[in-house]
Amino acid sequence: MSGPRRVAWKLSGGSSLLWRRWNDEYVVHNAGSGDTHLLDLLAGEVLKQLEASSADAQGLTRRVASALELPADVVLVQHIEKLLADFDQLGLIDPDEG
Amino acid sequence: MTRLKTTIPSVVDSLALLYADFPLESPDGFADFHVRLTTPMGMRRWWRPQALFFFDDQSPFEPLPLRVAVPFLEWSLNWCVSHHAHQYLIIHAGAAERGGRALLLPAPPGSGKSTLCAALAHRGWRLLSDELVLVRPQDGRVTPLPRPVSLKERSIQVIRDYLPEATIGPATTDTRKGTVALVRPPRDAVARALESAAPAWIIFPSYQPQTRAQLEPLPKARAFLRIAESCFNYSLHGARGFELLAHLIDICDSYEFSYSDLDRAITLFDSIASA
Repeated sequence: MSGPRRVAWKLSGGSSLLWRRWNDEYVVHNAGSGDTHLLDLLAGEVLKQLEASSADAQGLTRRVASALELPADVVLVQHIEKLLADFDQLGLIDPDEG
Repeated sequence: MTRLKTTIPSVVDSLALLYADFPLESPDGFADFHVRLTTPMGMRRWWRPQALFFFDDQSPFEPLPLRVAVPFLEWSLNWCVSHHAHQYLIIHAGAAERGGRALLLPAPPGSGKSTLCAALAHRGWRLLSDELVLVRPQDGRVTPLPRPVSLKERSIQVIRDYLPEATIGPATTDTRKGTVALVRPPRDAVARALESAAPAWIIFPSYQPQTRAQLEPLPKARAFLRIAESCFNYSLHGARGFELLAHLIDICDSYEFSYSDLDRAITLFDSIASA
């Protein structure tokens, strides 16, 4: 019997991100949509990781935990899953069907 | 440069009072905007008379009562700039200059921005603009637009009391913005209208009765979002607009500012200018 299907995510087609960071906050502009977003350190790192390559929540957790020196625990996974839902709603990311 | 045609007496008088220091160009010379403020033909010329604004022979607005023709012209000129001067990044803000450095005051209506601008303009700062800050994409400098400062409601008497030397036009009541009056820009501001300034401070003002004048540093990322929200054409400029605003945030100190007393506000601004 297989476990729940893991959804991999990627940056939305047509997205082109411009970044600026001041202290622990990012401002990121999506040239594709024209939207500009304010992200905290964690959200910014998640989106940067997805900009580099697609990943599911567990894979992102490992990569983000390593980048930010955080424990890769269930709390972080849940936080990242929430961020992915938010990014999906904002049109920043899409499921990676490939 | 604006070519304006009008025969409405109140507007002619207002121009003579508030724009007295502006140079008059040749009627055949180049103009950025060609505008007219007239009374409509027909019955509305005499019965409940109205004023009608034309931009390049198009009328973008419904007519307004003739008695509000003076502020109508100012609002229409603001519209001309905010909708057509897209060679600049346009921020809904006041601005003043001291020592070559510009203080930007992005703020929604009711924040006290214009009251502050009027006060600063007469207390050692050069008025750059009351309503629209024009930022040049090529170098991030502010191009002045030193037109009359528009005051509303209580701020009219505040400035009459605070600046008895200022020239303030007659008040127009019952406009869509309440009672409004215009303050003539200082002669020096008009004379130096071609002299740009480098942005140095972004201050988000908030008039709060009985509060001590207080500057609170604003994190830069948050200042970016706040000022982007105050831009008329940030989206139009796309990636270039993002880079330009980011540059502004990089080079400016950003603050939240609350105040209730103009003297204390100006003292605080003077102190950051001399720091």
